[in-house]
Amino acid sequence: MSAQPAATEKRQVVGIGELCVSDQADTVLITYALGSCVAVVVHDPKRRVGGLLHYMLPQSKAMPEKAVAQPGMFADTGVPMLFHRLYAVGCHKRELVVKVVGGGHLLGAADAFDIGHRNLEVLDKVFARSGVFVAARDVGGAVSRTVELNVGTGRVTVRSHRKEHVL
Amino acid sequence: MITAEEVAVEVDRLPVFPASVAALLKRLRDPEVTARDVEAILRPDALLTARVLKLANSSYYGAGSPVATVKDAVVRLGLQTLFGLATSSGLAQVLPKRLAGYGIDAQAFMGHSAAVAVFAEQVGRRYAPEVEKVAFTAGLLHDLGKLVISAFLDRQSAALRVKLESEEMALLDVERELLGTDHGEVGARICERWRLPQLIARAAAFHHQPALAPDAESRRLCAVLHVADALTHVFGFSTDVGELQRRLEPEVVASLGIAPGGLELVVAESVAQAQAMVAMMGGELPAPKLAVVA
Ligand SMILES: [Fe+2]
Ligand SMILES: [Fe+2]
Repeated sequence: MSAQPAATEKRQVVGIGELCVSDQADTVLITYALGSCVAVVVHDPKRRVGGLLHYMLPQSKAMPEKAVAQPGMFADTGVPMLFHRLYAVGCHKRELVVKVVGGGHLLGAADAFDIGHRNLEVLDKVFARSGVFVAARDVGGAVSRTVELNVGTGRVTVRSHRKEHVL
Repeated sequence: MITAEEVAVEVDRLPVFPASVAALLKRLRDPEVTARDVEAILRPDALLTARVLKLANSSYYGAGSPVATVKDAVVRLGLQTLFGLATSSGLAQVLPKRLAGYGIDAQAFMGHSAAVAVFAEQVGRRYAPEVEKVAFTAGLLHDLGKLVISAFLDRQSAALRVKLESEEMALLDVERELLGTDHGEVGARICERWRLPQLIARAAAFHHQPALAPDAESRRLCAVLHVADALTHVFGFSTDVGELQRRLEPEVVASLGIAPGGLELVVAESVAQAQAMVAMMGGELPAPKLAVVA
C-alpha cells in the first residue's frame, strides 16, 4: 500500500480543534498526530462529499467563550457543527459513513485525566442521542494517529509511527 | 548498555551552549537582576543578541515599534520572557539536524520543547506559582538528554522498535533497559557540563520521575514539567517514535492539586499560545515519518 498521494491530489490539512467539509473529489483531508484528540471522519459516497473534525476536548460546558470562538475544539459543539455543514451541502444522515479515530492515552493515565477516554465517551453519547451509526473505529491505546480521508473514494487511511492501514 | 565514560565522551562532543546564556541563567532566580544586567551579560555575544532581538520583534509579541536593544526588550517583554528567548536562541545554536534515535529532526525537538515551556508556565501559574517563573526556561531545556541518547538509541533501533511494539513499555524504560541510562539522567550531565543552574539540571534529570527529585523546589518544578510534557504528547506537540508510550504519574497530578477537568481548562486556554510559540521559536510539528508497510 502506498503512502504517496497521486499527483493530482489536493491535500487539505485540518488543524487541531478545526473541521473541514469538502465536495472536491480530488481532495484528501488530513489531520496529524491525534494523541488523545479524536477525528470524526464522515463520507457521503453518493454525493462524494467528505468531512473531518479534529476535536481536542469532550465538553465545552466550563468554557463557553472558547466554544463560541472555536466550536471544533469540543465534541459537544464540533460534532453537531460538522453534521450541519454536511447537511447544508445536501447530505442525509442515513447515507453518511462515519468513522472514528484517535482517543489515545498515556501509560498509567489516571481515569480522571484520561482525556482520550472522556473524548470517546462523550462522542458515544452525542451519537446515541442523534442516532448516528459508527461504521468503523480505530481508537484508544498509547498510539498517536494521523488520519486521512480521500473525498472522492471515501478511503480512510490511519497511520502511526509503526504501522499504516485502511479503516 | 553504555558506560558512564561513553556518555561523558558524547556530552563533551556536543557543541558548547553559548556562555552568555549560561551566565544569564545563573541569574534566573535572582530577584535583583535588572534590564541593564541582562544587557551587559548578553552584549559580548553579538550573534545571540541578534537572535534574541529578532525573536523579541516577531509578530508573536504583536505590532509596535521594534525594540533595538536587549534592555528595551526586557522593559517591554519582561525578564522572564528574555530568559526564555535567550535560552531558546542558545538551544537553536546547539541542536543537531536530526535526532535519529527518536525519529525526529531539530525542528520537531524545538517544537516539543517550546510547547512544554508554554504548558509548564500555565500549569505553574495555576497550580504551583512558586515555580511559575522558572517553568518556561526549564521547559525549554527539559529534554536536553535526548541530544546524546539519540545516537545510542539509533544504534539499537531494531531492538527499540521491538520493545516499544511488543511490550507497551514507556520510552524512558526502554532507554534504561537498552542503554542502562535515560535522557533524564544524561540531560543532567549535559547541564553540569554547560554550567547551567542546579535547578535546571534537576528538572532535566527528574521530569519523568518527579518523586525522585532531591529537594522540594525541584520536585515541584518537575511535577509541573511532568504534567506539561504529558499534555504536549496527548495534544500532538510531539511526534517521536515513542508516540504515547510514556507514563503520566497519577500521584504527580494529585500532588499539584489538579482536579479532574482542570487540565482541560489549561489546554483550552494555552493551545493556541503553544502553537504560536512553536512557530516563533522555529519549531514545527511535522507529520510522523511514515512507517513503510510491505
Ligand atoms: Fe523527557
Ligand atoms: Fe519531553
